[in-house]
Amino acid sequence: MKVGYYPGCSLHSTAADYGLSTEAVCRQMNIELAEIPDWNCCGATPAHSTNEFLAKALPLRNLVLAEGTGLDLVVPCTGCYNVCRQTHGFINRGSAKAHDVNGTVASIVGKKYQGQLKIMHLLEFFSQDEIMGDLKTRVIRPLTGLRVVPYYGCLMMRPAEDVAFDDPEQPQKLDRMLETLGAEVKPWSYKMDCCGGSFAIPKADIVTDLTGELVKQAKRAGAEAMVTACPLCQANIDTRQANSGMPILYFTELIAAALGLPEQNSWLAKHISDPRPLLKSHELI
Amino acid sequence: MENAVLAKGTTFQPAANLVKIIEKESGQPISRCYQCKKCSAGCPVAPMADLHTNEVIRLVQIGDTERLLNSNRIWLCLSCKTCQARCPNGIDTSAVIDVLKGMALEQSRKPAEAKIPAFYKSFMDAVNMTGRLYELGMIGLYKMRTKTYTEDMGLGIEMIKRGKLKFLPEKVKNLNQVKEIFRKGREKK
Ligand code: SF4
Ligand code: SF4
Repeated sequence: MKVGYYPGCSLHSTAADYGLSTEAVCRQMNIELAEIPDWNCCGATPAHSTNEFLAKALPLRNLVLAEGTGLDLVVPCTGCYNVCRQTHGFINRGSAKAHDVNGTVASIVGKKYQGQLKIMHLLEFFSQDEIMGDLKTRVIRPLTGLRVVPYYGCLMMRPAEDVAFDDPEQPQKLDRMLETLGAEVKPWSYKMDCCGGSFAIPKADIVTDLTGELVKQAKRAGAEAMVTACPLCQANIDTRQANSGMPILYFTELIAAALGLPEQNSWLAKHISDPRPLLKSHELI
Repeated sequence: MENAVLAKGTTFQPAANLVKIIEKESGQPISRCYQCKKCSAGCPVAPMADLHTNEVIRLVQIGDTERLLNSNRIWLCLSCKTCQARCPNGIDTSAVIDVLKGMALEQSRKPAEAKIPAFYKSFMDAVNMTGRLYELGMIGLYKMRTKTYTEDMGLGIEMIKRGKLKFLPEKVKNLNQVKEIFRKGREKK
C-alpha cells in the first residue's frame, strides 16, 4: 500500500522519535510513505493568530502539491493535520474568501486546490479495519500488563465538523489501538484536555500547570505511561513535567514494541523522560 | 458609565459596529450568545486570564474595544477550541479572539502578554526564511526579541544532544513560492 505523507517540521526535529518509529512500523507493515514533494511549514498556531491569509495559504500550497500525487494523504502531526483539514473544509465551503485564497495560491503554485484530497491523521489511518486486522496478526510481544492512559489532546477532534474522525468528546480509536496491542488501558477524564503546547516557549509557567495536572491525573488513574499521537503534546509534556518521570510515548513506539522491532533504541533514546526502564521492566525491549 | 466589566477609570466608548465587523471577520454568530458560560467552564486558561471566555463575547456585543484589545486574555488563548466544541449556539470564541489579536497587532498596541506575540512573530519570520520551521533560528529570533537569553538553556542542550534540535535548517526548493505567499499575506492584512 502506498500513501502520501506530510511529516511536518516537528517530525524532522523535536519529534524525530515519532518520525523514526512511524517509518519503521510502516516499513515492517509494507506501507509505503511517499513524502509530499517540497512541502512547507503549515504555519500552525502562529499563522492563524497573526495573519488570516497565511493561515490558509501556507497549508493550501501543501494540499495542492499533495493532490497532484493522486495519493491519499496521511499526517502524523496533530497540529498539521488540524490545519490541513480546516483548510480543506474552508475551501470546500466555497466562500468568497476561499475563492480568493485558492486563486492567489494558484497564481503562485500553478494549480488550484480541487478539494478532492482524502486527508487522514496517522492514528485514523492505522485504525482502519484492514490495517488493524493486519496489525493484530503481527503482534509478537503483546503489551500485557503495561498500564497506560490514551491522551488525544485538544486539536485532534476539534473543530468537529472539519477534523473529527472519532467522537469529539469521547474518542475511542487510541484506546482500541492500545487494547489491540495488549496494553491495559486505564479510563480517565483528561484525554482531550489541552496541554498548552503552543505556549511551550513563551509561557512555560502556564504550561507547567497544565502538564502537571495531566501527569497527576494520569498517575491517579493508575497509568505508568501516557500515550499520544501528537508531537506537540509529546514534546510539551515530556519537557515540562517537572521531573515527575512519567514516560510520554507515541502510539507508533508502542506498535514497534509489540511488533518486536530491533531498532527501538534509536528513537526511545531521544526522550527526555526515558521510557526504556519501564519497557524493560515489562520485557518489551 | 461604570459597570463590573469595565476597566477601572475607563469611560466606556461603545463602538456600535464592533459586533458587525467581528461577526464578518470571524464568521461567528456572536449575536446569538445568551451567556450560558459553557465556553468559560471548559477553558484551560480561565484561572490566568483577566476576562472569561463568555465576557469576551459580551464585550464584543457591547462594543468595548478598549477592554478587549488591552486584555491578556486575547494572548492567553491556546486555540484548543474547547469553547467551540461546547457552545450551544455554534460560536467559536477562539476565532473571535484571532480577529481581536489581529486588530491589536494592526493598531500596534502594547500587548498585555508581550512574549506570546514575540514568539508568533519569530516563528513566522523563521518560516519565511526557509519555508520550514528551523527551530534554532526561531529560538534565536525569539530570544533577541524578548531578551530571555538564558531561559531554557539546559533544556535546549538536552534537546540538541538527542538530535531533536538541528543545527542546519531544511529549505524548501521553491522557496520563492513561499516568499511570494508571505508577500501576499502582508498585502492582504
Ligand atoms: S458557550 Fe456560547 S452561548 Fe454560552 S456563553 Fe459561551 S459563547 Fe455564549
Ligand atoms: S480556544 Fe482559547 S478561549 Fe477557547 S477554550 Fe481554548 S484557550 Fe479557552
